[in-house]
Amino acid sequence: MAETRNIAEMATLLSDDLFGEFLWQRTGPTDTNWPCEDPESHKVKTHPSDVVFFYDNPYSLTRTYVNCDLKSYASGTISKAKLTPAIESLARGLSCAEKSQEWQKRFIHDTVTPEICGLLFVYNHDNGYDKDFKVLMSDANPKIDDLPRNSKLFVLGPEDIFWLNNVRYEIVQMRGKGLIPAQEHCRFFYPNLVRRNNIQPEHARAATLEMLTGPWIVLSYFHPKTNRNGYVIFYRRIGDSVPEFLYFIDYLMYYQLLQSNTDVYIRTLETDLNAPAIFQRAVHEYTEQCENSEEIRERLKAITYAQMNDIHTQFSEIEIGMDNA
Amino acid sequence: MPNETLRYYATDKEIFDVLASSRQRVSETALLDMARSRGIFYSPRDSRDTLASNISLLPHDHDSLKEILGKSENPNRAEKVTSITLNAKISPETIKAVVKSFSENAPSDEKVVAQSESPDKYRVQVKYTELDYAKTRLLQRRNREADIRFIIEDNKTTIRLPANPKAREIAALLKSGLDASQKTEIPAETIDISDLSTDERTLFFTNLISTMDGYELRDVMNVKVQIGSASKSPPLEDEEKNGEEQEDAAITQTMLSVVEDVALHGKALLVSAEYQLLKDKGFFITSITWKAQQTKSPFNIVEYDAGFEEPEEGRGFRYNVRGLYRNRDGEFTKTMQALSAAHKEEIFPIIERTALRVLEALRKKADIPQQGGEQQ
Repeated sequence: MAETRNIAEMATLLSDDLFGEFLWQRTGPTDTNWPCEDPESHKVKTHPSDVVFFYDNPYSLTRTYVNCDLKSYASGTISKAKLTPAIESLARGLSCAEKSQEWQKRFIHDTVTPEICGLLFVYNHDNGYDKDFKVLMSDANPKIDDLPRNSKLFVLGPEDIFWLNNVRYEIVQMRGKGLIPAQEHCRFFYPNLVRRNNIQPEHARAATLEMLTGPWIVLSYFHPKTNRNGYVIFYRRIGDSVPEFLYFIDYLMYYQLLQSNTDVYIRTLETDLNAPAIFQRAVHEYTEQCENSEEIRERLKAITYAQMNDIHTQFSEIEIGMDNA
Repeated sequence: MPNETLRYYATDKEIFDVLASSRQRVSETALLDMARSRGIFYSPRDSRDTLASNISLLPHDHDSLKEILGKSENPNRAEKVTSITLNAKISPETIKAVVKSFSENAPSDEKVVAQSESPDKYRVQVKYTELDYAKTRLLQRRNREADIRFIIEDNKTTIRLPANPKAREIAALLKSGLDASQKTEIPAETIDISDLSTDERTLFFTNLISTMDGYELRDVMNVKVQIGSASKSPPLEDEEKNGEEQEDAAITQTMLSVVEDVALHGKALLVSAEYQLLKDKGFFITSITWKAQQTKSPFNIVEYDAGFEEPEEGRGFRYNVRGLYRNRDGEFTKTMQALSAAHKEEIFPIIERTALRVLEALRKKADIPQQGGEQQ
């Protein structure tokens, strides 16, 4: 019962706080089991769904439903032997969710084309985050042949959760200081790519899992008080080389984020100590390569670059067993 | 940007093109692994094109683009190095002055960074651009770096450089600068086995891999062999054969003459029947890839390769430390791990010293007057 209560509490925490800030929405019941469609080969009668979130996709006319499996562990208790079956179980669950009338009835909206993906959310409840999780992930070799074509499964580990939790906290702080407007004026940024256009520019406001697991998260907004547009770019990389920042600056230029009447904030977390200086060197080099254009210099100079200093290491103390895979 | 080739950001289309066109080097497994390193598992049932498309649509930064470009490159093209030994002690100040003059005269698209790493080591990095417009934009421009090191010892100075034409050109320019500064042509030697017989050339490789200080030979995985000119079949003597017999002999002769070099891949190659057969037929080794284990802690296994740029002539010795298999309580990591440049720099002198020692011993045995390497 404690486990059930913990899952429900965690689901609420995720939707109200963490993923809520990334504009995800919750659908259907939490901590529920639904009938397996292939009990003979899956050797189970039911599959679990701890919580299901959804968001609209920018590059296709679909809505992603994120079927979550929530896990937490104490330091030193996670192992490859626990991680591998959790991934495999989620993959089997996904293959059934795609076929299951019951799952679709509980979670999917009638008017959209669904894309169901899995999310294994693994956090370390007593030690903030654990850098060894990446090693575990690279060693784990789950058999996920059941994962249907065009489906995907994401794993957010302690380090990812540490990062996302701090991004969320920074968004709240910036909003509190009036630097960015209320959530209704904010959206995450999806430029038109070469091979795909953003075909849901109004609806696809949330941060996709692809963005959340990527090198940076770009939040865009229109501030009704100042009548200015703006971008906050949460930069996840280490920031220890000029080429790294040259590439990033070129990204900002390529998608024309650096415009007049636009505020641009860059926020970093636990980067190299010299990252701010290295960023300035990259700005200088980039300007030089733009024939020392005064306009480019001004636009790059206007970027507000800062570290997130108020670091939150603890996401939650709620414990959810790793053994219920 | 004034120069289009200097754009840094890679679009989804450009990344897709690189992934799609590197079918052989970037397999489905490599694509699945690439996604997995971000915490994304795609279905193993997805086609290669779907995987390439999905990955190209993900946000990429400088490092992930570098990883993609690295994977799309032929791994066998991992830069080998070579060395030139100058039989004179040259002061760091002299080297610094010559490099300064070289740097001032370098073309605008070359960037020269030079620094003293220690009193006896001086490093010159020349960044240059290689262009190939036949390729997709991301692959057109490859930023290359010629990392040239001067290692000053008691009576000699070793110049270690990447084994490619550009680095050789730079090293030659630096060498002539040093000659000018010393007002004499400094004698230089390189590892050159053109004067050795084919059997001795094979011995050069087998002795090299088995007598490296601090390492014990574990395996030989790749060997390239070439037929010695003396063993090539003589021309047909027409007058001795007639009719069909002559025709058959001609066909056989043509077939035999085609096999001039053979590449063997596998395990324990030097004791394989196939290699022994080729050796007996007069083939000699021109390049080799081997694994050797450290005889001291941490007892890791290191993978090397060595060969000659001109295999038939035995000129242009080049070598590399390909990677490391870490010893974890007696078990070795399954995949080879890359070595840092600094770690490689520690190992290169062992190959160089062993190659020179082996060559000198072979020359002594064969009573060839030259000592060490070939005088340039």
